[in-house]
Amino acid sequence: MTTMNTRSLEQPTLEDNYLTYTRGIMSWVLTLDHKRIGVMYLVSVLGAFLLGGVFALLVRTQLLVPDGLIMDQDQYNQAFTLHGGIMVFLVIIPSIPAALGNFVMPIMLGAKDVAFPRLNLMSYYLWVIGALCMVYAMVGGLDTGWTFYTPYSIDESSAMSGVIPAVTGAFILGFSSIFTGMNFIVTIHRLRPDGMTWFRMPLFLWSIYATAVIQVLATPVLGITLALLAVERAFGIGIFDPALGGDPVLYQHFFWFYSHPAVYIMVLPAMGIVSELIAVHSHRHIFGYSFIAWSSVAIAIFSFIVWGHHMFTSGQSQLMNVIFSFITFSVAIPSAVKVFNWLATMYKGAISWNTPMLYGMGFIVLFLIGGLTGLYLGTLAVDIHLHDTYFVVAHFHYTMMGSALIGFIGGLHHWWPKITGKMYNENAGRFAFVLFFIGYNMTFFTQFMLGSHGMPRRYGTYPADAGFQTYHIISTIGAYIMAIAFFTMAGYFLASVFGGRRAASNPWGGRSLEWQCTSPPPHDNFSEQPAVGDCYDFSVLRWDDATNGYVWREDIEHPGMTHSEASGE
Amino acid sequence: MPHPPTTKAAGARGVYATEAAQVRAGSLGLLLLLISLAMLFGGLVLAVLLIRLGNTVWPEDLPHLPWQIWVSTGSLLAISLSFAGAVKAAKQQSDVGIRICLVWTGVLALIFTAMQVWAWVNWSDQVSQLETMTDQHRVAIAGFWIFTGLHVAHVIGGLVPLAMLGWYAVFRTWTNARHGLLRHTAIYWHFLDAVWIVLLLALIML
Repeated sequence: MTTMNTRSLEQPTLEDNYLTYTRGIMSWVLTLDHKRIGVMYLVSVLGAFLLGGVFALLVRTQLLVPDGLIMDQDQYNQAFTLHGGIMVFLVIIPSIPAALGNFVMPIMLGAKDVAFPRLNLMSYYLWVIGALCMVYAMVGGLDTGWTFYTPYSIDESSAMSGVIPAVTGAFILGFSSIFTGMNFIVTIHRLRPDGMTWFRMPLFLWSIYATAVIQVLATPVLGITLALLAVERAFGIGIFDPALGGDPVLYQHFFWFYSHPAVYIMVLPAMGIVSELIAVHSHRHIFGYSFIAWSSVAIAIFSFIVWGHHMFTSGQSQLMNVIFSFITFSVAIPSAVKVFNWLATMYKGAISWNTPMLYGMGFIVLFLIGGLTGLYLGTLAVDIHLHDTYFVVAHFHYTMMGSALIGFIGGLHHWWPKITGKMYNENAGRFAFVLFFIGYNMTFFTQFMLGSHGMPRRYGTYPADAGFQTYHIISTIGAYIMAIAFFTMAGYFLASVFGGRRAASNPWGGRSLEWQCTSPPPHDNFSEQPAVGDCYDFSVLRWDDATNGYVWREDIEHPGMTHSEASGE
Repeated sequence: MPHPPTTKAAGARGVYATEAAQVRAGSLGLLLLLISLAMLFGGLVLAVLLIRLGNTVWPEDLPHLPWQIWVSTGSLLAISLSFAGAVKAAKQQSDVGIRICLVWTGVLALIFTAMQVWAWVNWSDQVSQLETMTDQHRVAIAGFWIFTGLHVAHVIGGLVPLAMLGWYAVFRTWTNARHGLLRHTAIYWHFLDAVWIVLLLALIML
């Protein structure tokens, strides 16, 4: 048993890794390797992100002038629906668990693969089928908003025939998500090697585990809700349609019973990534490990009992409103636990201003804004005033994009050298972050002002004399700046693949197991089972100029290895 | 004759050290799947019952459940018993016992499916009248289709491993490696049984 096997400390070679182990398109299409499936998810999710981003820019461009610049009202409704549907179901939900989680989780755990590799591949193809259904929905038209609220979604007079394909797509995507969650839970329970106890697991794994629990428990409720919606639209039964004696608010209850936990399906893994980024790039032991770990579990539990705060204005009883409001406030406690522990980790740390660290710190700022405005919206009286305004849009994007997506982007920068075996241009990375951060806040911070001044969401036009236009112009310019930042990222990532410097096994100084195999990892992850230590004890590592990465310090005995082996001599 | 134990690395990509470890992982995976499906069926029953309870006046002239439903309920309960017999036979290393129980289970599964289809044919007479029905009638009539339709979709999912087990038992030599699949399939069918009872009770309440 070794903690760092000799091979992992050699200069990485590109001959024997998961990318080159087998060749040909079929070796990818039928692969059972979690790393390749993760890469396939990554490429697919980024493709969907491009599509969802185009719709976002269309929405923002429309709102540059009061009467709308480029679309009529119906087209605008479809644009924001497709933006939301694609971004939520195809991008943010699968981005971290399915793409980065698939690639990193088994290696971090010290396992050869996930528990059910065939199910893992099936989950990916379910995602593809679901995505095709969602894209097909564009042909028929879909204008319900990403929530598919009744009675919009059962109103056949709107001639939007994309509803059934879209909910079918979301249903299939849900099962992809459930199977991924099941796979991850079993993997963490059953494939942990000797020494990898629950409280030695990296915090990313805790967050993936908590997320997987939500995926398994909550997603089926969305599945049956959407199935009933499709049946309602097709046959007119009378479950959600008030004209047939159904209850549209029942749909909201069922939808949010899933979709509020889904917020944490999106945010929790990002929090796990940030725990890794902050600790590794501060080169300091994570502060309050067990508090952060348990706070992930606490957030997962709370997520199931707060859905009613989306429905304060739906007519549910005042008592229910008060209860949901109170419980909503309690979510702030485990969230704050994480933030304080991240700050305490950075305090007196030797912070490396690498691109992933910038995203980690950016996450804290944006999540703080998103979280605190969530408390505003959880307050009954304030929510009644702000409901369905741009304030909600801004809060939503600060948590979904500013937190979940920025966590994903930070994780992508962090593990890019491991995934591809190549380093990207750090200066370009820092430049893109600054551009993104400025563009992001220009886009969404102004929307808090818009909302508090009364601009309703989902409107393609607004009164010229309402004072909204200046904010909309700033917001739209910010969106275009963000787009430039994303294209910059795509540029330097692609450049790194074709001409980037070879990445060392451990370019950032991480201690978790994925940094102990070569970059890119071998087909079977480890040539022999690695021993597990404290994955946040960075004091045993030192920078090595020869390999451009971190290696084990010579003056510290390495468990299971001689000093010469550990230092790669 | 005792079946030889197998100890080689198991599972796709050899992720498990032993076949026993693979079976343990499969058991946990199955448990999670059943929890997930319980949420799915629970959501369905809750949605329909909430509509039912929201109507203080409920028509009394609703059609009775087709008689085939009671036959299929009996055959589903018998499937659970025959699966329990197959698992017991496997523990006793009785190849003949496994074969008899699985063939009997297959026959019962076919009876269940045939009865469901027959019940649907009878119930389909109601569909032509959907347009003229009251809201309450419509929910009750459609509830039968939705409940049984969703359940039968999961029965079809259970027929696949049952057919595989039947094939192994009748045409191949039974090995210990099949015990895990047998136990997991049995648990899945017990679950279908339990769900059916809940759905039937909900149908009676409609």
